[in-house]
Amino acid sequence: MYARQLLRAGAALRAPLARASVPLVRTPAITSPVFQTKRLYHEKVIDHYSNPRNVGSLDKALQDVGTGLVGAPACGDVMRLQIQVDEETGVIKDVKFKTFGCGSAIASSSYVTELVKGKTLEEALAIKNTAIAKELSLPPVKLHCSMLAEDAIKSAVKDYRSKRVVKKPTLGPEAVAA
Amino acid sequence: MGYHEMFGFNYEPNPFDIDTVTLRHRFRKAITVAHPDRWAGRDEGKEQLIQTLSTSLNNANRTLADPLQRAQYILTRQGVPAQGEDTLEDPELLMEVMELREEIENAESQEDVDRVKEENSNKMETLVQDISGLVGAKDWPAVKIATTRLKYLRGIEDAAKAWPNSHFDH
Repeated sequence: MYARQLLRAGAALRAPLARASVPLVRTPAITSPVFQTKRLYHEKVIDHYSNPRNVGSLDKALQDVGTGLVGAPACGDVMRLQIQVDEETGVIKDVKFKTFGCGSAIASSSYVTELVKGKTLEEALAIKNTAIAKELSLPPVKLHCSMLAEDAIKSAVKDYRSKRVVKKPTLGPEAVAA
Repeated sequence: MGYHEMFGFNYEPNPFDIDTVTLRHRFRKAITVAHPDRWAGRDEGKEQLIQTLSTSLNNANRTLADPLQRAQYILTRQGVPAQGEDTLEDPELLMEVMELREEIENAESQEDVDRVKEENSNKMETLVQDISGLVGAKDWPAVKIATTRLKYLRGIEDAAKAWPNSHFDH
């Protein structure tokens, strides 16, 4: 509650300035006063939050890209995590994420992208949310953010694998042609 | 005592249909009597009681006045397990939310944001009507799904209001 009020106040202070001076250049939100006045987040969370790794998107239509899309309904968070897999070795060669949510959710997904890069799908699936929570020192009320990141990876791998299953037509002219 | 009963509303047949104008009147009337300042220094026992009462009245009013909180309250009261910390995998909803949140984030003018905001508030209006119907029909699983959707649409609204700053959820 306190954090929210602080942030609102901070946003309200910055808003008119940002609009008046440079209307088309958006101010980064990392100057949020909450991080300076009251240490509500662990510094690793702040690091990932203010400098998130691997933000962006991959072309979800590509055969070697798996997309995971998950949400935390209690908070209204939404997280997209995409992996690009080397089809020969089964190693994750690229990964991108985009999360709309709290600092912990953003940090969890940012950290997990660092973890899975260069790993095989099996290794990626073995990542547990407890490892994420431990690295970021998430408090108990934020544990679900790390679970969300774990589920995002699982969802992305599942999507990638579902693309691998080649559906061979069993009926019709294509079946004969194939 | 339930929140509805505190302001003399019938819980049945449809606890979601609250006349917010009536609610406002009744809340003001009640809070005038129960305002802590009015009882300050008179009688310590009574002061404490009034404090508690005034807190309850404020909570009840806030909950009933807001469709999202009202729907969440009704679900809890019906014994429907609250939307816990389970991960939601509803691709359609999540895709829609992701798209709109990115649209807001990448918006280059207030007009872009306003367009998203207006479309979103139309959606919310329709959804609130839907929830009313579903509560009336006591279709609690459907009420829960619709309430989750409302929560996400509220997030889009907050993000649009916060633009050009990032919206913080918590």
